[in-house]
Amino acid sequence: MELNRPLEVDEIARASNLDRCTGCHRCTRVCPASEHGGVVPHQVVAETQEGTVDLSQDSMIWKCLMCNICSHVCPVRINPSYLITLLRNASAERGHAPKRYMEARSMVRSSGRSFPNTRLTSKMRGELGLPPLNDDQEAVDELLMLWSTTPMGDDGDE
Amino acid sequence: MNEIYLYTGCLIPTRLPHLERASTFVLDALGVDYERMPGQTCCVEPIGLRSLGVEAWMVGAARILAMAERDGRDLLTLCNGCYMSLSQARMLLMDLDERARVNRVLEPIDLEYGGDVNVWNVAEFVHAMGKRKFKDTVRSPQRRQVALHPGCHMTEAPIMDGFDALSILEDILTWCGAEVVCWGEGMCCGGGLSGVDDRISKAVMDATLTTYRDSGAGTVITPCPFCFIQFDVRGRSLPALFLTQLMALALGADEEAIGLRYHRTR
Ligand code: SF4
Ligand code: SF4
Repeated sequence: MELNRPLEVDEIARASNLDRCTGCHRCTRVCPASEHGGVVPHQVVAETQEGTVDLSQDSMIWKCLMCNICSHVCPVRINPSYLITLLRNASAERGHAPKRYMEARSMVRSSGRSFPNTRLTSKMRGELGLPPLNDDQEAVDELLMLWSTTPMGDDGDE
Repeated sequence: MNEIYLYTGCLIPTRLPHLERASTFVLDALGVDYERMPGQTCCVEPIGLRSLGVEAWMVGAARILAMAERDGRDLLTLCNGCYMSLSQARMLLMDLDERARVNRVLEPIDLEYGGDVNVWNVAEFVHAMGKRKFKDTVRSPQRRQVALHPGCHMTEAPIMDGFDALSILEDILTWCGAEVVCWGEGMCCGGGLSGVDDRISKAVMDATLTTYRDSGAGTVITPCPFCFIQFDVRGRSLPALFLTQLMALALGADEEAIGLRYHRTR
């Protein structure tokens, strides 16, 4: 399988065994996001099969908590949360990922960590007697070399 | 058990160093021989960053597994997110074709993963050390009624057959002297959409905290720093303790020394 680009919707549908879905809606009944106006996992499954799933930035695929609760209850072992992850990859490739996630990516690319090492960090670590947190450029370079072989390595936006 | 690399991840050492301090207090009190893992990078964070690229997630996690294996160490994680990323990658890399494929990506940085690293969640690790060991070290039993919030990703891909996150956590809480009055199985903190869709994130968190408060619990205990930050910084309606903070208190830590003053909800 080619992994230097995200899978397209038809490939995702085939790789996820969606034809097994019985339409029981158990995934949606337990979904905490769906209860509050977020993603409706059985609908994502159906729309992916039909090829009509929305990959825009307003899509319900970006209103999922990734709690994996749906995947634990599916009687035919479809993994809706992983399905949503793959659809998000396709949406991100089109430039529709939430800002918050793109910022985390930039932080990893610059420091190796997905959260910032701030002045408050140093102050708290000092007060607690913890060793200072230093950036490890060699480690970051290694990660970026690995990422350059994946779609995340394409950083036209930076 | 191999020697241990403490894999601290990103959120704890930067924003929640007091959770790191409580964790090292516990490891020291229990006589665990560990070293902070050198050269660590993000696990890769399995909600937002994996949503951008599953392959970037896999190769980032594989690098960490391969480095630990090269150095003959097991990985000890303090965060449900790190735990999920590293243990799921470990499981996927049991497939020989997938491992060979990923190893070709690792080759330019002189790493090769042979499939032989254990990834421990700190709760699982302490539990495996045994009740006797822990209870013999308890100095100050924490007699409080608590809600146990495992966090959604504590149950993903454990090392041990028959692993049951909820009962392992409940055992540890009981060893610490606490009484569990509410079990948050399948309860989500809403953290996955924090900063992305704050309305849904807050509604989910509020529903969970309401359940815990209604149970009569005075504290919510969680092994996940993402859940902790939701409850402590955003929820502000029920005091939260990170699992290793409760353990550290039971093992005789001074509140000041492990930084409980940094909590927003007391
Ligand atoms: S992973 Fe997403 S779709 Fe599945 S139950 Fe959680 S919020 Fe709902
Ligand atoms: S739980 Fe599984 S079978 Fe039932 S609707 Fe959801 S995806 Fe389909």
